[in-house]
Amino acid sequence: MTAWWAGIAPAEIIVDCGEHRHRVRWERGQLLACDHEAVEDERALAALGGRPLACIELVRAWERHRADLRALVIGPRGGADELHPDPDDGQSGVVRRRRRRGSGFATMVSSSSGGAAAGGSRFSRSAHAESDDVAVLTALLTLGAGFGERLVATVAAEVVDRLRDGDPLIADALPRLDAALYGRVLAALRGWLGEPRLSLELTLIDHGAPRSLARVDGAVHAALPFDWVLEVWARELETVQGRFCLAAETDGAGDWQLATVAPDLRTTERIELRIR
Amino acid sequence: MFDAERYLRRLGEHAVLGIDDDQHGFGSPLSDAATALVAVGAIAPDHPREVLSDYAAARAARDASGHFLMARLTAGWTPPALQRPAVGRMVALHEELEVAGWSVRLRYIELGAERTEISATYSARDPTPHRRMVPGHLGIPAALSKPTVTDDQGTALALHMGGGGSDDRWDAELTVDRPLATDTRRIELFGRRIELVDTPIDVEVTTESVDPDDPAHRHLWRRIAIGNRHFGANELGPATEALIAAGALAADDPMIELARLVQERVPGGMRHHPGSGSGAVHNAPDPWPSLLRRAGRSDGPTGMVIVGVATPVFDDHAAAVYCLDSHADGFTMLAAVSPPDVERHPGNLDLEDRSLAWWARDDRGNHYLGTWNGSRGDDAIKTGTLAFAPALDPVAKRLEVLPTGLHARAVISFPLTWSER
Repeated sequence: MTAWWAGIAPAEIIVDCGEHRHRVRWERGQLLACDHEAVEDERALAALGGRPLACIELVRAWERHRADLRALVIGPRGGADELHPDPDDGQSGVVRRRRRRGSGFATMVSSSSGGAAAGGSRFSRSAHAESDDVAVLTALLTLGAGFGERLVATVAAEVVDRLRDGDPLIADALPRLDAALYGRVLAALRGWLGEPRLSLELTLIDHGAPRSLARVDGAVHAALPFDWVLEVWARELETVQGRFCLAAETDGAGDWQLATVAPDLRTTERIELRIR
Repeated sequence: MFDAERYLRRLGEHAVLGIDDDQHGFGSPLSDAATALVAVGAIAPDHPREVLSDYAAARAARDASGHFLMARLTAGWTPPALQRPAVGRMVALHEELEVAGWSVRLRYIELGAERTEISATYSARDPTPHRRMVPGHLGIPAALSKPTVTDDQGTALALHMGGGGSDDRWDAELTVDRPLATDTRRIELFGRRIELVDTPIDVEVTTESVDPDDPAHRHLWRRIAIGNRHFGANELGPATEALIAAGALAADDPMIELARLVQERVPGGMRHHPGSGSGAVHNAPDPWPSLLRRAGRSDGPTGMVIVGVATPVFDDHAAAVYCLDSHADGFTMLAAVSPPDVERHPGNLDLEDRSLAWWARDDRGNHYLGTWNGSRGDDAIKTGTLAFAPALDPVAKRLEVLPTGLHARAVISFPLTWSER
C-alpha cells in the first residue's frame, strides 16, 4: 500500500529554540525536531526547568492537531488563497503574532489546553480553551514554507483512513469534509478556468466511484471523493499541463498516473509523471 | 435532501475565497443565511454557531477583519437574560439658562430608586474653533460637565456627564452615583431652584399576540424591519437564497420581489428612494404600505413627550419607553429592552431572531419604524435611542409604540401632548 505522503516534498523551517536557531523538518508524513536527539528526555528536562523548548512544543502541537478537522476549515485552499494573520495582533489573545520562524512558539503552545478532539471542538467548550486551541492550530497553519498545506494533508490522511475503515463517527463530519473538498476544488477551478464567479455543483462521492467534471447550463459539475484533497490537492497536482486532475495514482516507486480533463471539460487524458 | 450545515459551510468557503465580498456591505452572508435557516427550523441554532466560529477562525487567518470576528465568536455565547427595565418618576423641566457662555436647556429628570438622570442640551453661545482647548469634558467647561444637584432634603450630589454631541452642542445625560429622593419637590441645579411639577399623561400599556405567518415570509419581513439599514446589513439575498435552498420559500414566490422593493423604499435606508411612495408596493402586507406612504416627508412636529412607562413581559421580553423627541424628518425615543436587541453585524451569534421590531402607529393610520441609533447596556438590558422614520404626521394626536416579537408585542399608547416645543 502506498504511503499517504508519497509525492509530497519535504519542507523545513528555522525555529528560535531557547538560545539557538534550530531546524524543524516535515518529511514522510512526520514533523521532526532535527536538532534534538532525545525529544522526550529534553521535554522532561525543559518541563523541570520551566522553560519549554520551541522545537519540541511545535512537534507536540502538531501531533495534537494531526486529526483536527478544523485544520481543513482554517487551512489553505491553494491557488490565490494566502493565510495572513495580522502581525500586530496579539492583544486580543485570540490569534497571536505570526511566528514565521517559530519564535515564541513554545510559550504559545504551552499555554494552550491541548487535546483537540478528532471531530473538532464543540461550541460548549470554554471560551479561553477554545480560543487558545484555535490560536495554536492557526499558528501551525501559518508557519509558512508549506507547513500549513502539510498539516491539512496530514488531517486529510487521517480522514481518508477513517472513511475507508467505515468509522461511524466520521459521518457527523461529512458537511465539514464536503466543504473542505468544495473550497479546494472551487479555488482550483476558478484559477484554472479564469472564472472568478464560477458556479460549482459538487457531488461528494465514495472512494472508487467514477469521478467527473463537466459543464451543465453554465455551472461546472464535479463528482469527486474526499480523497481528492489528499491524493491531488495535497500534492499540488490540481492542474498539470493546463489540465485539471481528477485522480492521481502511484506505484509507490515515483511513477504517477494522472486522470485529467482539458479546459473544454470534455476531453479526458492521462498524464504520466515520474519523480526521481 | 437539504443539508443545512453543508449549505452553510459551502457559503463559508465562498467567504474564505472572497467570493461576492463586495456585495454585502457590513453584513455577513453566512450569519444571515444561518439565521434564516434557524428561523424556519432547517437547523438547530448550535450547529450554525459552530460553523460561524470555524469560518471566523478561517477569516482571522487571512485578514484583520477576521480577528474581530474571531474575538466575537470565540468569546462564547450565552442565552440572553430577562430583566425588567426600571422607570423612575419622570418630570419635564422646562428650564433654559446660561452657564459659562453656554445655553443650557434642561429637558427632564428621571428619579429612580437606584438612579437619577437629568437630560439636558448644551449649546455654545459663541462657537469657537479653539473650544477643544478649554479644560473640561470634551471641551465643555467643568461647570457644565460636573455640576452639583440638590434635592429638597438637602442631599447634594455631583453629576457625571455622558451623552453625545459636537464641539458646539451636547446632548447631555447627567447621572449621579446614588439616587436623589424620588419624591423630591424641587431640585437645585446650576444655581437655580427648579420646582418639579408632575404632569401625568394618559399612557396605556397592553400586550397582544402577533398573527402567525409563514415562517419564511415572516423572517424576510422581520429582516427588513430589524436590519441595520445604515450599513447595508439588511441585504436580503443570502437569507432568501438559503430559504429557497431549504425549500422553505419557492424561487418564484412573489413575496421575494415585493420584499426587495419594500426594502429599497424603507425610510432611513441607505438605498432609500425619497418620494418613491408606496405605488409599487401596495401589495405588501400590512403595515408596510402605510409606513411607506409618508416616506420622505419633512413636516414632523417639533417637541418632546415624556412617556415613562414599562411593559409587562411579552414574548419573553420586557421594554420601557421614556421620552419621545420629534423633529421635522422623524422622531426618536429613549427606550430600553431586555433581553437586549441584537444589532446585526458579522459577529452576531444570536441566530434565533429574538430582537424586537420597533413599530409605531398613530391615530391617523400611519405606521413608523424604529431602529437603534446609539445604545448602552449590559448583558441583560439595552438602553438607548431608537430613530423612527418617517416624520410624525403633524395632525396625529396619539401614538402607539409597538415593540414586536415573534409571537407577541406590547402596545404603549399615549397622547402626543408636547411638553416642550
